[in-house]
Amino acid sequence: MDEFIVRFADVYIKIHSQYTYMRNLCRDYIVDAGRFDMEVRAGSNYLSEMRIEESFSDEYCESLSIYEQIAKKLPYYRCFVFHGACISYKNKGLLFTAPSGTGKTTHIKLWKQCFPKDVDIVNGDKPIIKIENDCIRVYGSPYAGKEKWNKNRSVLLHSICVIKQSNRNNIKKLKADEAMEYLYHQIYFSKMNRECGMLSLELFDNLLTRCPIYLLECNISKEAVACSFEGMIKDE
Amino acid sequence: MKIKDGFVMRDVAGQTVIIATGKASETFRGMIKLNKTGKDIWQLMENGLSVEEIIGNMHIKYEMDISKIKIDVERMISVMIEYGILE
Repeated sequence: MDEFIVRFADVYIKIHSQYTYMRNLCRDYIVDAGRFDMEVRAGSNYLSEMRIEESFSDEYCESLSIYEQIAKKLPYYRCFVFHGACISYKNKGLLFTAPSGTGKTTHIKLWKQCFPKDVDIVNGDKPIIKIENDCIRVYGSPYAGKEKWNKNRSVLLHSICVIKQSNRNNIKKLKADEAMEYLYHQIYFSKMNRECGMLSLELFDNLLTRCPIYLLECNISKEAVACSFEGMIKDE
Repeated sequence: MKIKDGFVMRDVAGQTVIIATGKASETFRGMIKLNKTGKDIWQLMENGLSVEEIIGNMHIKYEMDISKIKIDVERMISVMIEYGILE
């Protein structure tokens, strides 16, 4: 059994794992700390619970389960895991979200092509959002999808963009109640107990009411990037 | 008939939202959104009132026809049963 401490979203987490895969996955996030805020290991039935696809290895299932265990406790630290791809554009955090397979990765790849110097990919799949009193930040984590695009850094959240495939490119701002429908499925709500459930809902309320949220209907093109840029950055 | 333990309610972006936590979250995974009367009915049920008492309460509060209120309350309860929210 291996154990080490990582720092995700400024939360110190002691991880116990059976496989070296976990240490390798977390290598950029491992810290030499004398303290930790939470301690996690994979859930007892992690192999059956996490093997959503047959090809998933035991060590991969363990890593998924450990992230779930972390996510369950994150609301205590005003954080939650969000399903989306986050880039930093001139230090503005742009968070693109959509159901898997819609084209988040493709879209942020196009952003990088259009603005190679100004875009830094923070996390391609499952970043952590932290709601603070005066700001909302997005943090990288090693859980970053197939491409593993991730950086151990954070960025102030500027806006969220829901992506929908379409033939034409169009962007519009969503009202908080409209955005709720889209974002509910993209947030990991901790349902471990009543307290975490309430905290998750409070954090969700903060996100919806404090952060501008857009709906981008787009195709795969640089025009799609121009459209999301115009909507989110230029129109401020 | 009562609401299972573990359901939590909060206003999110101006709407009343309920999710299940703990054991209840194993069978109910969604998010419930309630309008004002739905919220009242839910809270009265949480306080352990019977269907008749809920109808009586709603009648006093909203001064609406009892038969109409009865339809609303019964409809909501049947949905709650359908989704396994009640025990």
